[in-house]
Amino acid sequence: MLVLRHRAGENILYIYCGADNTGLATTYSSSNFRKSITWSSINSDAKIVLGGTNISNDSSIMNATGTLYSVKYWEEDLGEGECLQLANWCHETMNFAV
Amino acid sequence: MTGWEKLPTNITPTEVGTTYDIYATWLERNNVNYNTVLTSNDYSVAEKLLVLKEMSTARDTLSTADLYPVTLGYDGLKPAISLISTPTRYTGTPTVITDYTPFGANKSFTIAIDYRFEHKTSSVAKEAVLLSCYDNTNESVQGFKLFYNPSAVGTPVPQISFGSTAS
Repeated sequence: MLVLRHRAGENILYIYCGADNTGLATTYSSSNFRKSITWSSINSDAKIVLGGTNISNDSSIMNATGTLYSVKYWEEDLGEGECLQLANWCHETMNFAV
Repeated sequence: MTGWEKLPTNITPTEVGTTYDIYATWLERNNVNYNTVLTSNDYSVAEKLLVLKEMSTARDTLSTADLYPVTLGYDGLKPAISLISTPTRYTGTPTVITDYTPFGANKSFTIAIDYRFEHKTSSVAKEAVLLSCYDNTNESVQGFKLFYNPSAVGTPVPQISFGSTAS
């Protein structure tokens, strides 16, 4: 479970992953369950792409094989508390019987 | 919880000989279909548990061994836009979501991604991307990608980078 967050006007991407902080590394800093990455500038018409990228002129990347169980999107900044909760409680389906 | 605000303000827990069931009132006022609530991601865990409670008291509508799936987890206080309706396995053919521009001017966003990589060992040191957000019309493409390195041995280590595709 991974939560990404961006606030209007900032060139920062905030990253939250579950309590187990061993799973996520970035090219910018060491493993941590909460971190932020800053870029020099962002002014983009970028679209979200599921299952790979829409970039055709970069030979160093390829489309991965894998499963997206859910991708939820909010067109607003939910705040740090919400993001931490989202990242720390994965969805699990339990069957109850009468 | 949606619907509580519709309850009367003069409610009393116990009336003469009758227990006023505040839960049942909530269900009634929302025209709740049990099955819809239990299988939808639009209802919180609390609401689903509430429905389960109601179902257990309404045994005339149930049969022994009926199963009720309840998905635990946190969905956020505000309703989300689901970019996929069901879990989807990708094998190299991406889907572009054209409806949103997360990094557009004066825009904020939050995205929650539940995912799993399938490790395909490759001697080629490429980055295997499962989800990304780049502007393919901009030469200095900027955005983020969720990827792992297929040339590494062992369980894929998810990585995030933010910036150009080469970052």
